[in-house]
Amino acid sequence: MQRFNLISSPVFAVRMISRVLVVVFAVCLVLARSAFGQPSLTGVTPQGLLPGQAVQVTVRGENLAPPIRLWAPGAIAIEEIKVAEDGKSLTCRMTADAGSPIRVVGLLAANASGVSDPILMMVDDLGSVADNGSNHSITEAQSVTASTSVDGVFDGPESDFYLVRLNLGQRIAVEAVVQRLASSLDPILRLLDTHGNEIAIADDNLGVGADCRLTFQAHAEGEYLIELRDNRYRQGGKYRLRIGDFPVFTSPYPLGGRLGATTQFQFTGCQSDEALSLIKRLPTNLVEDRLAISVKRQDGVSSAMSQIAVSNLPERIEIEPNDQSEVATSVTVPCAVSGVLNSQKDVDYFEFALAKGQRIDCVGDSRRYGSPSLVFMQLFDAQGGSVAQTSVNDADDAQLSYTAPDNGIYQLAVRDLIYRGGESFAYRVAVRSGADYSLTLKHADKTTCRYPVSRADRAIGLTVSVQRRGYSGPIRLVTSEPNDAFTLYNQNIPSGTNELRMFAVLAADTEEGEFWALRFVGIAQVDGREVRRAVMTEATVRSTVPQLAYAYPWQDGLFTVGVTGAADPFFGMTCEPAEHILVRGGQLQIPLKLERKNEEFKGSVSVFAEQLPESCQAEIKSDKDIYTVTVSCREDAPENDASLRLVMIGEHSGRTQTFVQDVVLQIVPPESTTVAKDSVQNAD
Amino acid sequence: MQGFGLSGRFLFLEVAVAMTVMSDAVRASENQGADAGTLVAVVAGDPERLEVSPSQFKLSGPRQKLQLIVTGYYSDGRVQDLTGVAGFSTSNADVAVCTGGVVRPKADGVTSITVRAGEREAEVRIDVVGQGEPQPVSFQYGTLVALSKQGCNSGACHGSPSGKGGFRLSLRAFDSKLDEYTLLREEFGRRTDPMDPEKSLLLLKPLMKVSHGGGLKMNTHDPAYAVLRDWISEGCQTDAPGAPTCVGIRVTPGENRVLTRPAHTQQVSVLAEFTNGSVRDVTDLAVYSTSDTEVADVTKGGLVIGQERGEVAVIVRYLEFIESTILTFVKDIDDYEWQPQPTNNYIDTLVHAKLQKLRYLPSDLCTDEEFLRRVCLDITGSLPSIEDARQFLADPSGDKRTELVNQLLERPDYGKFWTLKWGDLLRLTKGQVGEDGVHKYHRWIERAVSSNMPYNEFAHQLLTASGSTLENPAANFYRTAKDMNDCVETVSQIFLGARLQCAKCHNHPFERWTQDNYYGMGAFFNRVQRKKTRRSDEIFVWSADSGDVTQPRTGQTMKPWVPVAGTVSELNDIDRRTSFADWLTSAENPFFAKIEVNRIWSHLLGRGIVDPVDDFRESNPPSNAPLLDALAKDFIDHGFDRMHMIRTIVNSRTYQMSHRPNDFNRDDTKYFSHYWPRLLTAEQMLDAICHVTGIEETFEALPAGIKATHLPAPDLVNHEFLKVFGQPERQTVCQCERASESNLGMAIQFLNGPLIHSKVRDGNNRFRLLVNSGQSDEQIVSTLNFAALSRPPTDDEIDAEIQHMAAKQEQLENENIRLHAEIEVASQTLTEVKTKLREKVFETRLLTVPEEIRADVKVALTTAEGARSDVQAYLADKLGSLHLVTDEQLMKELVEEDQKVLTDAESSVTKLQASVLSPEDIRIMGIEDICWVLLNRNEFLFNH
Repeated sequence: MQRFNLISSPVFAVRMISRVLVVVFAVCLVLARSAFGQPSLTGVTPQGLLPGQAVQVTVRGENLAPPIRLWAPGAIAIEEIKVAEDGKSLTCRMTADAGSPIRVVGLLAANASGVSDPILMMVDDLGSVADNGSNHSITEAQSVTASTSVDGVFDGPESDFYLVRLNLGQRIAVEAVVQRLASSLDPILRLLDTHGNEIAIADDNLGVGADCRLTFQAHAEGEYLIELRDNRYRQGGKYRLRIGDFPVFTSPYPLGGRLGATTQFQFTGCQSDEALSLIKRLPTNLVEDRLAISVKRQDGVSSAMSQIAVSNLPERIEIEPNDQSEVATSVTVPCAVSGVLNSQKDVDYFEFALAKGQRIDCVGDSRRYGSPSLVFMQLFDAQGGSVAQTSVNDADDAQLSYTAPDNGIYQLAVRDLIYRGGESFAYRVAVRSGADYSLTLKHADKTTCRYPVSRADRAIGLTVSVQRRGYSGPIRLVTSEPNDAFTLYNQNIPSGTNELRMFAVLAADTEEGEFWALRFVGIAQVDGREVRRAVMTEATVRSTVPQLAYAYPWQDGLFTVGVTGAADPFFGMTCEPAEHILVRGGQLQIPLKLERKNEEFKGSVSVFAEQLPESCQAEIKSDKDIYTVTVSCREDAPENDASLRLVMIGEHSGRTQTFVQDVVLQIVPPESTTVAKDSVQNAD
Repeated sequence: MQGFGLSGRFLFLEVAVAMTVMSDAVRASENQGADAGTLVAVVAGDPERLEVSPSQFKLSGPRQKLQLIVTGYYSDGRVQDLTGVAGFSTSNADVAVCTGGVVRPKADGVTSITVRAGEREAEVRIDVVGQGEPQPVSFQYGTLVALSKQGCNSGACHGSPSGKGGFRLSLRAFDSKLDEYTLLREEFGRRTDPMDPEKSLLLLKPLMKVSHGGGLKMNTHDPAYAVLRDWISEGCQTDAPGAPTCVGIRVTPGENRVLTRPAHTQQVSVLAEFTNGSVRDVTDLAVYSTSDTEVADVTKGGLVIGQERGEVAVIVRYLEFIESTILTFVKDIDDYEWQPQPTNNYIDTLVHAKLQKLRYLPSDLCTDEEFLRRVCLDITGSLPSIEDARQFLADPSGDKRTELVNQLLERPDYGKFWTLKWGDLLRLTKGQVGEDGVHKYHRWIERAVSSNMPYNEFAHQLLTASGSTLENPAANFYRTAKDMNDCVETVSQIFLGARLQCAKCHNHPFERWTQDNYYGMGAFFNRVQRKKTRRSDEIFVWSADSGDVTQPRTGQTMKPWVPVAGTVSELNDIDRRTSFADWLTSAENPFFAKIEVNRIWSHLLGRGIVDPVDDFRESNPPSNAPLLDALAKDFIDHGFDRMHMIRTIVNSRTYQMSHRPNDFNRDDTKYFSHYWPRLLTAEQMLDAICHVTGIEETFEALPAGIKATHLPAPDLVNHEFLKVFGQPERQTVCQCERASESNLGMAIQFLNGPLIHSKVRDGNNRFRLLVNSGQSDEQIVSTLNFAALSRPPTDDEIDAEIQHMAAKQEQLENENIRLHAEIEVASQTLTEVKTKLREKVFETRLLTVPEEIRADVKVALTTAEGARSDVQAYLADKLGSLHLVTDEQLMKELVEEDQKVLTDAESSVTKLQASVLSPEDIRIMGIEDICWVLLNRNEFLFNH
């Protein structure tokens, strides 16, 4: 007898496909609805802000109806926002602090329609000029000075040409900032003489991914041409072409520093003879785990941008020679070790002691900071046996974890995955010891950190994932800075739990068009010390802007919330009566009935009780659409009126709605119960 | 060529019929069904020297025998195989006897075989031992060899992966364990019957005594029959552990022997050497084939029979051992006389030597015009500009060809065009390496070629490439070669000239490559890993520290292996590919340089010295081995400099020979006695059409002005014309993917394809601009000829073209006259139609007049002005407008049906008037014809 296989049956398959399609369609509808009408930014002119100078900026986009708020990270002031009548552009005055490092920043807009994604621009010490749009041949090359940044647009098969005059011996650096500004195009730079002969070409330089840069020292006074085009001859992408005397290097060295310490950074892979150095006092406290830095050549005018890792770990630098296990650099864990793989096949060894049961977690980093290395690590025990090594996968960050079975000396060998080496091949390995944890947004690559919130809904929900490394205790989630506008619910991650749905509810007096950029951090007592870890969202940034290989420090962990207009509630609650008598030492059950105002809303709601006096406790249970709040009261509770606030949060079609019900509790002694009941009945 | 071949064969048969002496081998061949029944050996004549091979031999055991090879050397330098005509006698017939050159043992002892031919004698010492000892048939070296000999385990029969008729053998006995199981255990051993061996299915089937799908495959007098029968009768024994195994075979004659007709036969003997030092004659069990059956056939008994002039490799296979011997067959040609030929370099010397040996004469040098066009197409892929052509042809200097070659190699077009060729081999497509990768990889190759990166460095960089495929585009090699198997097959085909695909599943059926070799080479590439990175479209190629290859059939872990050197024990400690690349690109590698010089040669001369260029094997020998060796040596000596090789080849007279054959090389297709014309490639053809018409082609999102020969990949643009003309999709690493044969689609493109039509009709094309600039017909036609053919037209051509234009003019003017006549008729018709319709309008207008005066008004208005009465004149004065119907009014006031009648009549006139050609149009159309004709000339379509 033939057995009927349900899974392989065509009917079943068709049904399944149909269901999947329906679900996909529904999801698309939800996404489309949530995105519809929100402000969006498509262009900004100029793309550079001169530190310390007010710059008049024009921003283009959609749905920029006033009143509109603009936001940029760090010390950037935004004033005098004027929106065009068609709502498709606005002007404002932006001022980056004098002394700000040059870096890529974001600008985003919020109004009653929601919040935009950030558009990227630079804080740049090179003044901006615009691509004139007709510079598509050598003869039509656009003249620029040797100290400028050009904001341009790729013109498909046609290159953009710029003519620059150089003195004998003058050195210039040319850099195309393209994918770092979230453009998907892939620039190719060529330096030509005026006859069109190629002097230099740059494409995919080490350390900058698809972007490229070159340096040139003029061997003769005269004019030179800079040609820029997309690798695939695509058009429409934006670029910022920096031409100046800034240094060109691959990465700082060391790649990181300790918070609060004064650190001297060298720069590897310099395309000039002079040594670059930067002495920097690092901030004592920073939510981000990276810090933008910039550096100039001695007597230079323009800067190169870079970034470094920052942490509380002691920073250690390799002591050469350490390319054999016999001459390993000794360190004490936890720490961060930095080194340079000086030559091909170079392997750097670090030696440290581990106690029995001590766990270490090593994270190697390099490409994020410009180094071309792809870190590979291997851990050896005192006998030279390999006890752990990096698992090579699609992620760039190499990781290795190990728990020592016995007291002993161990050696960490660090090399490039394919044994490359050279002065540019810097790396940093954070070797953490003991219990720790980190937080990320769950399914970050499929979710968003941008929350348009209806004034009626007033809430956002996010699921935080915990990656525990030897720490199983509770973690409390808070906003990184005190923020009166938000109240967090379900913010305590219980011991042993690795996932939590947290809600942030806005204050009731929130108005349309209000906007917040905030971060969430976890706080835990780990081995007797307070450990704070931010909820990171790099995967979300990369899913939104895949051409950005690494999120900028200000992007990673940034949540934006904008308040939009009213929306029809999809649920409500009835709680009758609104006043209850609670007997000391007794219990009271308050029934709540969920009202589904949108028939498509099939889910449940979360109910939180707050404002109860210390002597009382509330427990909430649900049976279908009936929620029962059981309030218990200690016998020693003071006799008075108390209020109980019930905050109910439901989620549907991408919305998170809040419903608040205040209940008055009259706490009475047991003997007054009858009287009180009577009085209540009489009152009715 | 075919006709010559047939007549040659008939001649040979006539000679053969006159001969009467038949050797054993020939008889055997006849019996085996070969077409050599009427073939005989040659007349011994009077050799100056007689040589017998081997000069001594030991026959161990009753099954052994020996094939002697008798060679006569003559005073005029000729060599003849006299095996079939020599006389043999033995000093002791009790020890051994010799018949037809085959010695068979009788009893232990020593004897001497005397060989006589003409007046010469030679002696062979024969030691016979072990005649009293049993000598069971070896399973490996008897049974399996016999099955191979009869073709039972060939790919078309039981050697196919699924066998035939439920009986499966390993392909050509490469898996003796499988065969042992199949023959002895499968089907409960019913294929063999030791009790009655001759009733075994294993014998009855090939004898067709039992129905056999493969037909008659064996006769009872075949040597293989006796082997199989004896093996069965001995109880189907397998070889004992430790039994001696074969280590190789020796083929006689071993040197490249030249045989001159009528001495067109050569017996071959094969000796197998075993691990215990013994040597056995396996001539009757070895399998034979030739590399070119047009030149020579070989019988099952190993008698090679020449057919045509030429060189042939005789391939001998004994189990997995394959050896070949080269034989050259020549014949005297009437009136042929070798003339000392001038040479430009060693290439000519070696080509001439081969031609002289084979009785060919080289063609004359090509003209300057032919050379210019040829060398421009071959080096840059494009036709020369008119200015360059005029300048070159007018240059009187003697070294202008050399100078031109130097100039062409400096041009950017050189790098771009030869990148196209490498793009084909490296499977450079958007689909394989990604949208960003395809441009970067293309640019990397182009820069390597343009900068003349030494070929060994080029290959080394490709094979050892690691890291990001975007930052290091050479790493895309491992994006196209996606796994170990792909790597082995790609590397071997591109850099070793070997097609190894079949060795993946079994030993190569025709070559030395074994399955072990395949996976041994795979051990170099098995550790190559690919990982994604955060950058989209980027793959990171790296080599793992571990990862061995397991031979799927034997389960053995394979050690890295390379041809010639064998197992490599000293490996690069980080990346095994480095060891392989070091071996591959070393000057000592016998293959590497040859493959590339052969490929360059093929690009320039239309055919490889080894052809196909990626199919180097014993059975496909070079048509001129010394030339290939010399080119390879030159290549190595000059640091693997490709430009040097191109320069050397195109500066040779061989390259510069005319494509026109002479009476003494007309049938030559292999030895480069004349240039071999070939159809322009798809990209060359398109660029050439653009060049002639002066209208550039645009390729979607690529920059204006980019040529078809510069396209990075075929899947970047979807171009119908290129597809029709054989642009490869680059799905394989085989150069053969680029179609070179003409087809109907191509013809249609040239007859009325949209591409040519649009360019010839384009208002800004070359000849329209020339017309606008005031040039004469002769000047324009001359320019077009220069553009298309790189030469001025001959007087005859220009006369014909001008005459055509005149005839065209006359034809079109006559057409104009006819049109004018038609216009006159149509105009008249139109007038009549209008008159009728005006009357209709008038009648309609009359309806607006009171009925009582309507008739009077009509009469008044239709009466001539002078003939009207006063009343009529009054009516005409007042209502005359009723009768005046303008064209505009006419159209407005007609009913729809009549409007159409009028429109049709007007349209007819308009159309006819539009068809009338102006004198300028007539001239342009004449030139269009000339342009079209030039594009359809063979001289344009072919690189000649």
